[in-house]
Amino acid sequence: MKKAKLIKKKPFELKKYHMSVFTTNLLALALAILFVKSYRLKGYSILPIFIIMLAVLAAFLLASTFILKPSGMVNRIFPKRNFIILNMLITGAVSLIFLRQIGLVGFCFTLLFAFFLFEVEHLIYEGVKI
Amino acid sequence: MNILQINFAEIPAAVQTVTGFIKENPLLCGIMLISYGLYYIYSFIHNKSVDSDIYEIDMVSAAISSIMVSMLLIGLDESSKGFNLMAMDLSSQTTKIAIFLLSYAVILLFFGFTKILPKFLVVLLGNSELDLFINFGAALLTDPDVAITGTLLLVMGAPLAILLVIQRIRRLMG
Repeated sequence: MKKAKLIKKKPFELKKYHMSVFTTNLLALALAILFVKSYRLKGYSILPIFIIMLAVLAAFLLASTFILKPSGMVNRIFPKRNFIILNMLITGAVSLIFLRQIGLVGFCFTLLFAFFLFEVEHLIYEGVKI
Repeated sequence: MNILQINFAEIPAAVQTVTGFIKENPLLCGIMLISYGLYYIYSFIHNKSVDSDIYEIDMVSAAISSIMVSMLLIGLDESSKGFNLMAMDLSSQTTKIAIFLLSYAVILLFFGFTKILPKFLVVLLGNSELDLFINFGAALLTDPDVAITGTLLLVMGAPLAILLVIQRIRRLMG
């Protein structure tokens, strides 16, 4: 028998990490949509905050790649791919419902805001390794 | 009405404000409450970690989300309409709350990383009920018709405080 066949796949175990990252994504998407709706109602642009958030996210990712990971403080910079897809699908689907109210920039902002917050949550958990 | 003043006669009006906001945004408020509910139920069932494991992580995470929310709040009430910090309206309630939230977040970050706070303060500052309280309060501020008063904060905070106490009793018994 080949060795590969002997390796059993670990069953999925729901941890506080999963729950925390998942619920952070939900909270972030609700907040982002509410704020974007309010900004648009007042005639304000969300673009400056979108750019700031993009820059902060880039800084976080660069710091993780070049400082946290090489020093062994985190093992993985991103959550597992399936988890990211699940979170982004939920965010995308809910944002699409509000597309007319939030516009295209608002839609992108919601995706970015949710991704940013759950990614930070992931990094915090990676850092403390629970 | 001042943010620190509580008038018990205004409780029905405050309840109506909260329920009105939920009725106006049922899906988004539902998502917020579900996110808190899921986390609460999970913590209620799996209460095996020690307090510092749970609440210190939450402190750091709440701090970062509070920074982002305060930034969004600042942008909500500045006159240039393009997120110019020099155009901040310091007289507006939203901006004052945003600055307070930002300071609170910095304090949380400091204590989250230094881990010098006594355990009961870590529990008090790092619980998810306080996080929801802040985020829901911020969400209410997106409605231009809503003014945050002490009574409104009491109406929002009281049920969450009860949930926190129940969670604490469960953890002490577990």
